[in-house]
Amino acid sequence: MIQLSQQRTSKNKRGTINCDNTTRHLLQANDFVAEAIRNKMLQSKTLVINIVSSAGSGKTTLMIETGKRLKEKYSIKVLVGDLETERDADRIKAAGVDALQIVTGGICHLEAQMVWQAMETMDLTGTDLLFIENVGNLVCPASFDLGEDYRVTLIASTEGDDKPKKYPRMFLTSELMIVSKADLLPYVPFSVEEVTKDARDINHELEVITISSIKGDGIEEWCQWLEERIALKRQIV
Amino acid sequence: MHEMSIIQQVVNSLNSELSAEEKYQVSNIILHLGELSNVQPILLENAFKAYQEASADYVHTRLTVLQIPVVIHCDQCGEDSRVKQYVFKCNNCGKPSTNLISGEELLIHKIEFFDPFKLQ
Ligand SMILES: Nc1nc2c(ncn2[C@@H]2O[C@H](COP(=O)(O)OP(=O)(O)O)[C@@H](O)[C@H]2O)c(=O)[nH]1
Ligand SMILES: [Mg+2]
Ligand SMILES: [Zn+2]
Repeated sequence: MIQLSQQRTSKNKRGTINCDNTTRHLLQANDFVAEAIRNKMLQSKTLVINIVSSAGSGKTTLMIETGKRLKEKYSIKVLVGDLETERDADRIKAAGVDALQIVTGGICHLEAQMVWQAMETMDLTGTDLLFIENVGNLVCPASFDLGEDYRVTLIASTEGDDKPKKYPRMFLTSELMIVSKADLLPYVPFSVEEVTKDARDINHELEVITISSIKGDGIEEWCQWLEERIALKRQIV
Repeated sequence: MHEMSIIQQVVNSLNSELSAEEKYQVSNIILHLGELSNVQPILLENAFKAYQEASADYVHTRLTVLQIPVVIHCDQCGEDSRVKQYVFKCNNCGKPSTNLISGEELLIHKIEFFDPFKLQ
């Protein structure tokens, strides 16, 4: 069962340490805008999911598969961060889901200000679900709160199961870890059990879902995870 | 990584607080950097050097980066534990915790100034 308290509140925002008058928190500006996004999305009751992973772990493909399954039932929009190209947004739009590319021009992560700006050009009224596909990188995006309700980290079976120990902060700040490309598990040295153990050593509350966007395994479970949270967000008054 | 933009933010923070006169008196900028901040001290120091060369600003200022360990608080027994090998468990009673006391810092901790008498 999921509870309201699991939704992020201003009390458990990431990347923030209380600072007294003698210190200055360097990501203050980002966190301020992230809070504004959170308030705005509370008004419109839009569930916001920040999707992070290394480059090529299958974020865009998962957005497409999720869109195909849920677009009749919910209003879904996707913001896609990419260093240089508009390719991913085009792929998602081709699947019939409204997407907008944020080209970061070489910046290795999305910042709340970029998301805020993109939101201003988008009509979000009535949107049930907003995905933010972050720039492919497990380091920098961990520090930047985008005002999301949940952070979801993808780790592909092809990229090795030592990621959690290498990038602990990302797993510490995520609510869900998705092991992607499960169809390739028989061919690669990757243990779902090991990666789950390492990730839960860091974050004991981390949920884990194993999926294959190509074969469809686990997509049902993932969509259910989303639907539960969409319903929850609607209930918040 | 975004070391250069962090340095830019440090400088912007200082510029917004200090007069042009005071800027020249800054001897040392002390940053607190949590072990989970994903920022390497050496890269920050290099970025600061690059900034000094490019801007000819804060050329007599040192940058000191202090690393802050990851410490969690246990809700069960109240102990604070230093996190080792990225296992987030209480050292006293073993209960898992993600309740961070420190480790995510990215802070300007302190600014030091040259002694005004010695300067003249
Ligand atoms: N075998 C397999 N390949 C996948 C799966 N999901 C994505 N891919 C492939 O992985 C590559 C990168 O996927 P993409 O969604 O663009 O990753 P992103 O960079 O995280 O957005 C593409 O060639 C996809 O076809 C999957 O479930 N199984
Ligand atoms: Mg992509
Ligand atoms: Zn304890």
